[in-house]
Amino acid sequence: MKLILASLIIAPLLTACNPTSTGTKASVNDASGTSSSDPVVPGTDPLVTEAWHILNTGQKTYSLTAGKTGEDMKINKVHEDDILGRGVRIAISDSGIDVNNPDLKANQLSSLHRDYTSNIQSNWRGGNPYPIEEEAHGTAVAGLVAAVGWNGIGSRGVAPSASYAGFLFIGDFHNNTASYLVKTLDQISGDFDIFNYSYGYQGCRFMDTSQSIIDAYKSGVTNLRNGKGAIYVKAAGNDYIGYNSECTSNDGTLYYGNTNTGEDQNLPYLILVGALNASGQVSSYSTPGSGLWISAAGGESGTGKPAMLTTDISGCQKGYASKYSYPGFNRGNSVNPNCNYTSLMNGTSSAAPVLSGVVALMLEANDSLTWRDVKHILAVTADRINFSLAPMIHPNYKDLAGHVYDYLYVKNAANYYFSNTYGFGRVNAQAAVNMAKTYAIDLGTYVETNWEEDILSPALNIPNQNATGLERTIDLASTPNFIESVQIKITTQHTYLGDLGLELTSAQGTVSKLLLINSNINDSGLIDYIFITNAFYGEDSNGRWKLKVIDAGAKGTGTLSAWSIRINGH
Amino acid sequence: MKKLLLGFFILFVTFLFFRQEDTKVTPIALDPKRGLDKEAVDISRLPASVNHPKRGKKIAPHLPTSTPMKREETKSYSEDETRVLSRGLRFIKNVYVVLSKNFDPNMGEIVKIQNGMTFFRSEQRPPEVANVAYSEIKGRYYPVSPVLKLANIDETSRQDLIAKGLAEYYYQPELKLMFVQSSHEKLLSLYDNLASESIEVEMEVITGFNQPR
Repeated sequence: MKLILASLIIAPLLTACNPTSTGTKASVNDASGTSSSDPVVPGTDPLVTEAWHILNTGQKTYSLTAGKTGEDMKINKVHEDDILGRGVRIAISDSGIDVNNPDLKANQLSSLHRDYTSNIQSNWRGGNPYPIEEEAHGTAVAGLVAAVGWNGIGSRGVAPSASYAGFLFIGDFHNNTASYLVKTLDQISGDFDIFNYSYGYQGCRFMDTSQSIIDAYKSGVTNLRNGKGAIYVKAAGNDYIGYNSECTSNDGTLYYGNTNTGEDQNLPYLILVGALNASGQVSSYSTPGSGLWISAAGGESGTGKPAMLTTDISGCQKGYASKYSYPGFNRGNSVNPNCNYTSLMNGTSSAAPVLSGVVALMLEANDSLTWRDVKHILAVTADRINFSLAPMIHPNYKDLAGHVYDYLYVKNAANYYFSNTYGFGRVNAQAAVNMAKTYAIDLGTYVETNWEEDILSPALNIPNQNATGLERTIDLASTPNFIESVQIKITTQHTYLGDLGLELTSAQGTVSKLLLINSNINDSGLIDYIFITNAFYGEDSNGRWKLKVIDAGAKGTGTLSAWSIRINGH
Repeated sequence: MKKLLLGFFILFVTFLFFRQEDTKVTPIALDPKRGLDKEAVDISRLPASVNHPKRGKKIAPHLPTSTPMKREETKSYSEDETRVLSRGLRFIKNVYVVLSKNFDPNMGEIVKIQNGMTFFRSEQRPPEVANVAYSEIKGRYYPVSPVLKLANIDETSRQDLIAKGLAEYYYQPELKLMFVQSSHEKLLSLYDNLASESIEVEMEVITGFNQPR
């Protein structure tokens, strides 16, 4: 009833708030989407005025409320400098792409698309990666990265002159009769500068990463781009607060996501991206975690608050348009007659291609950057937004007396500020490109140390509902004096892992929360499970490291039987 | 006057709907993971010092307390009915899996229903069912792919294995990985044969598929 009443009220409001809406469905086209042409404004992109992620003027982007002027990533400034991603090749591994969308067609690498719907390897290369069942996700992702600029129609990508290939990898066509691992490995490889992964597993369980996948990413950053390394960009997840019947327990609890739960999200070779909204705050869904590197625009729902303006599958009976009920821009109107565009795309799925686009701009500015250079520049040029060193509380007040749930930012001993919510902050495209242009820093030889182990036999009990927790230390010597990331492995048996918190204190005294307490992440044990943290970037790793395991909840008890640590850096 | 009252009523109801964030009115499920509560708790992402004393609404539990417990119980299998795949992960003989919509009670005794799949025990292998692995530490069952991974296979070894009749599915030269196509029925025997030749062979346990974010 509420929904019906809301619909009656909202539909005319949405129409009213949309200055270009026709207010009726009269202009909606047939499924072919070819009954009329997009409005042409030579020399520009008429819809780019609604792309707040490129230039935030406080526009509504066809939602009900405006964003905040100036809260963007300075992408417009880079475009004004005529840096558009020329010569950069991006693989978009997603749900396929409508490469014939008029704003996507010219930038495609048509011979490099892939289609993993077949289980026969020889069928994967080439062809048209048109989405299965009109799933528009990949088309929206592609538009954010590389929609053609200044062609007189639609909007433009963050890297409007970059080239892309679409991989049809995500979808319900996978099954147990073939190897998913092989397809996953295959889409990590290829002659591309950037790989965009706006996908992942639901973050309510810890997903082990196959050693083959770890090796494949390592090979990619070691060998691709003539040894400079491919840039792997991945969406951090939309599990700030999640619910999944397979993952939550019988008291109706929600779970609180963590980047470290995802397969391959605990590796140093990927750049994990969180999402921001048009008001310059973290998006309401964005998964926090110590594996985050940076944040970029991802928007909110697109109805009440702005989402992202990007490409849709052509035709108003397809893609996002086909799922939307109300007349106006997203169902086709005078400025979007073929529904080639949507203003409903959101998620860290959106933040990832925005960052991929920024990296493309950086690589046009300086193609000699290595994968580590790119990460370094992003970290040092990011804008600290919503800055505070204050402690945070549990999203649903499941705190433990005497224990700080998290800090919004921590300042480490190397004077870097890191946040489980924002990573190093919001990407600043202008600053990153400017630094890339004159970049002369030698990060030295990359080292991944051996795992230093602390094996506990017998396993030690983790004190239950006790903020003191279980503390263990490992002393490191002759290890990198510039940390790029730190990984730990944990072996624990616990009747309810969702109670646990993990925090690591560096040799220089910085605390990183790797797993926040009372996450309700529903697992019962971990064997050599890897967590990563970027909070110690730039610190010297030599000295005593301390792991603290806190059991904050009453749902179970458990033990720690081993942990180990590895430093990645130079 | 009536028009004025109607106008006030609409404004009032509109206010009620929109003051609690925008996803309340979202008419489209762009992503099933994007629950209503996510934006409703936005304020809790502020530092505690900012958040206090105006604490946001607590989130009401979504489920009645009678909802079945989803956490898994650990089960033990004897050595002779399993193969150790890795620490804590075992291949289970005589347990199979099909999509739940394809399960027929005559196939065998249900062991677990999980993620739309039915895991069941049967002494006689029904046709077109996949093999199963079990994680003791997580108490979860997983399907096993009919493709085997062979590690440390250089080009020479690769050609030798092909000459022996193995059906190559995929080869990754940089990683020296060879993937061999088998069938669900023959997977275990091929695995045992390759392992007996000191080849580093692994089964692929399918723990899930990636989804759009």
